Amino acid sequence: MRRAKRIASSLAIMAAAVLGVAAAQDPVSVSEIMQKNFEATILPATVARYTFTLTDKSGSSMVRKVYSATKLLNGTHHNRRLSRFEYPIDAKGISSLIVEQETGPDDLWVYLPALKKARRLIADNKKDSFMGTDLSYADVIGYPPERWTHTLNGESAERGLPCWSITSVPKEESLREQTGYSKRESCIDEKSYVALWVTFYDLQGKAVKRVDAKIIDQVPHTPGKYVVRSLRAENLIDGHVTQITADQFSAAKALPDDAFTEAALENAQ
Amino acid sequence: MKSYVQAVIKYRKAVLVLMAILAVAAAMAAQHLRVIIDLSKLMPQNHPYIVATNEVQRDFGGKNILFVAMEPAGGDICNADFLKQVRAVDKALDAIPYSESKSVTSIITPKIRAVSNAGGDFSARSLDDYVSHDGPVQGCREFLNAAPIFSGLLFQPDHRAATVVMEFKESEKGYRPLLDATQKAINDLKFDDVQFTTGGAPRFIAETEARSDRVAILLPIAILIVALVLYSATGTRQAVFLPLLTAFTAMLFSAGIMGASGVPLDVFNTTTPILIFAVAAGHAVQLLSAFQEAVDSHPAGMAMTQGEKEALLIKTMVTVSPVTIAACLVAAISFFSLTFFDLSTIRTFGLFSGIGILCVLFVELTLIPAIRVTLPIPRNKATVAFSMAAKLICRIDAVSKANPKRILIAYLGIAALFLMGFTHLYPDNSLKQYFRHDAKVNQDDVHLASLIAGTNQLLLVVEAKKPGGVASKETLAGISALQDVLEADQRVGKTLSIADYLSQMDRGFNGMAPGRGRTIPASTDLINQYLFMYSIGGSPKDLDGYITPDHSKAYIAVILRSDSTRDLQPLIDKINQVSFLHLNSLAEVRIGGSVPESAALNEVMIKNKSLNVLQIAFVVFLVSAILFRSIPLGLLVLAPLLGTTVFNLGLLGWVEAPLNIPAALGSALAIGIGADFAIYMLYRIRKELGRGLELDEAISEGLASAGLASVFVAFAVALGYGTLVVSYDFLPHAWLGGFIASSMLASVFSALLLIPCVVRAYPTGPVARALLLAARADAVPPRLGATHEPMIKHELAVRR
Repeated sequence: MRRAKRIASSLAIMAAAVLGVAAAQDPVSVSEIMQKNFEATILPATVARYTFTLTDKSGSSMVRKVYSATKLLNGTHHNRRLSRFEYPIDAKGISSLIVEQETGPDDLWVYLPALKKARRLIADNKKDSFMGTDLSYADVIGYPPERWTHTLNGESAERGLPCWSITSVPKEESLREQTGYSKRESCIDEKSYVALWVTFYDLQGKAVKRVDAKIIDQVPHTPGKYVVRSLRAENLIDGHVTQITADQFSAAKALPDDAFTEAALENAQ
Repeated sequence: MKSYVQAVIKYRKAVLVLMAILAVAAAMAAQHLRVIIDLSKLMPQNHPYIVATNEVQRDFGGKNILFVAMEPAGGDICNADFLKQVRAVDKALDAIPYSESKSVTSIITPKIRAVSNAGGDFSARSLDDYVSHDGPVQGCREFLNAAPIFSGLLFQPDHRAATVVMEFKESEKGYRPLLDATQKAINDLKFDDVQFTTGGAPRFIAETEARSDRVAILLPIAILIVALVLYSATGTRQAVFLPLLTAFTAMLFSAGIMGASGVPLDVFNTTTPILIFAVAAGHAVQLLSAFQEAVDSHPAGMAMTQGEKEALLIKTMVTVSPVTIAACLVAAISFFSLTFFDLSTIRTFGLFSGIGILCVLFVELTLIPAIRVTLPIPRNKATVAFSMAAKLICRIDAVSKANPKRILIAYLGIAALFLMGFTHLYPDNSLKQYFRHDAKVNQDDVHLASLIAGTNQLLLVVEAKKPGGVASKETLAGISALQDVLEADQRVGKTLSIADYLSQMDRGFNGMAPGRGRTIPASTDLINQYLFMYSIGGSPKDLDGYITPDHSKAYIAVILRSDSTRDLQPLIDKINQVSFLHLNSLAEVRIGGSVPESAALNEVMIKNKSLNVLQIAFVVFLVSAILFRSIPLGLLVLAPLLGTTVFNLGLLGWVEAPLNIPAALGSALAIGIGADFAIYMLYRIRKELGRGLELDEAISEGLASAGLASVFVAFAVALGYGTLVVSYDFLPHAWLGGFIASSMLASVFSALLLIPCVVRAYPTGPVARALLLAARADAVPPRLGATHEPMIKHELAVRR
């Protein structure tokens, strides 16, 4: 049961920034809703195991299993994220370490077992796919609300849950370019502040992606924090779908800093 | 037949109104006719090259590729404004509904990454990363230098031009809407400081579609030419008006049926209406000249009463229509027999040509008596053209009388000479050769070829014999060896495969500088880890264009400098050799792409059209033999057609012109319409024999009547088809026009020489015996007032 609860809360970190989790409080304004949605997702440290199921339009699927540990950088909303593939066998041991940055590209190291060494990888990866899924790094890291203009369109309901319908557009052209999005439309759960769904629009205004939070649980022993246990992201252009489920999840109080270094990446094998 | 003609004449006004209504309906239906090149329907789907091309399309994409080169006014692509323009074009083309999802690729596309090692760090950056930030573009040149695998494909090696590459979806609307949408998307951006050049197979196909529409312009010119030839023959307006009206009506009917059927014309069937027009005009001339001849021989002559005219017309139609029916049936059955072919373009050609010929038959037997009986009888004039044709016929008659065996030997000698030309025949098809070298589309292609490695594709599918086997070190080494050999060939501009991507990654991880040579990762494990890393970075589909997700198949893109299929075979031989040496136990290599597709189409078209010619020849022989109840006469109808085919193809060989699709099409057309001359000749000779003339005299009469009409028909059709040369910048029209023109002349002279010479050289031979036997069966009393003087002298006397 404890394990189930841990699983239930395991997707919080990765998906929360996309879907938003916040304490259920009366919103003052749309900006406040989105701020709470952004902040409430952040946990100091997590350890989890995820299963990614990638399914293309023809129905063929690929399964990947990942061990993941995160730790917030002191005084920021930015994570250090260590991921290690456990499945498929060909990829077993491939690991990455990401240190999120406020602006510009994140720092990224990759370890390949066949080379037995880690390399720093330089890439402006905000728009890139996150570990081969239909989510981008920016989707996972989250969108600081102050860089977007939000409009409350009204109230609606999703799966019987009342939610605020909110449209967010980038304030600056550079943000449009960085994210590749001209608009996001969200449905924020009025109770949990989790986005029940988000639709992303490309720079031409075409809907390109939809992310749905299928199962949402409160993070154990962490009042006001929620986790998405099951998430579905669909590429609306090519029909590719990513289903992410958390097999294990724990919100750790603290993890050592040296667990998130290049050396740790190589030694962890 | 008599009752039918009597009914037509009796109710002529109603018949004319009905035909007018039908013509209007057909004209409306014909408006739906469209020329569309649907490659999926045009291509022989079972050919190994097409199977492989479709496989590549299904597994990797990469078919119907259009190249859009962009040259900045400043001459340097590493300019922020220009790179933003490339991005805008990239996005604009991606938004076109006809573009394959995510197929648009340029140096600015995020999935295009330059992999390098920067101070020990592995760098995999997109040029888009640099342009995303404000300010000058730093690192553009370093990016380009670190991406040698895209040099000559996405950017010009001296950085003077960038190329946006896009893939079109297959469309039932053809290629013109695709190119129009692309051009509009580019024009709408209003980048006046950028020079755009488009190229690739889709552009050539769209241009081919557009130029094929010229038939609508060429047809009226052809009609005018035929009218002039007919007027020159008779000197009367009626002799022009009637054949043209019937031919035009028949053509309208057949075009209406084509339009109503909803089946689009492909580029190889657009000349079918001209074929119908030519055949219809020929039959009309034969029918009308027979009537004119009957009038000239009638005691009342031009002064005959309406009742006498109607009786004479009925008699003439009853006498001549069996020949017309026989000739039309021969042609129609020949064309309908093509519907058994696998290739849809040949089926369409056979079906519509056959229907068209039946329309001709219906119109000839209905419209001609209805109009002929309404109009007054004109007096033909002794025109210069008639005199010349008459002299020609007299000359043929004389030489075939004097030295029939020598003529036959000379004919066979010439045929043997042309037959030797067959040894110089070579199949070659090139879309680019369809256009003059100075045509805009070719000039643009040449310009593109000066910027990038080429626009012609050869695609190789490498399928591993073990699951996931493509990602093995040994298979990658084999792929790399294959690329090395191909890149050393001057016909190849560039190759690109998964081996290049993995080599880039390996260099980046191992601290090597980017370079053109490929390095194969040290182990299969490492290859799999690189591939996995690539699949989780960027977009999951970034490598889908080069390797399947299960690593069972890889694809090698080979860019060729020429689209000539003649150049292909040596390359294929090399590919097979290297594959055998390096990949034999590991993988199977299959060949596809735009150039092999063209080669497959050419190969199958030539094979099918050759079979088509043989099939039509057999049907012509069979139906003629049945009609004349004689195998020798069936063979004699066939002989001029075979002579024509030998002449045409031999000429093609001697002038070293390529045996391509238009040539194969021309051969089939020629043999389909050339049988009429021999059939009319033989019928006329048989008729004259039945009237009691001697064999020699009957041949002279046949030459003077059916032969003379055939000469005018052949010249009219030859010159009519010759108008296709007006389409000077679209060579298939010119080739087809020349081919049909020479075929008609070869066909008529073969018939006019071979039939008299064979009969006269062997007066007791099987052909002569068969004619005499047939004549005895349908013997008729001599015509009224027959003078038995040679027909031409009689005709000239009447005209004067």
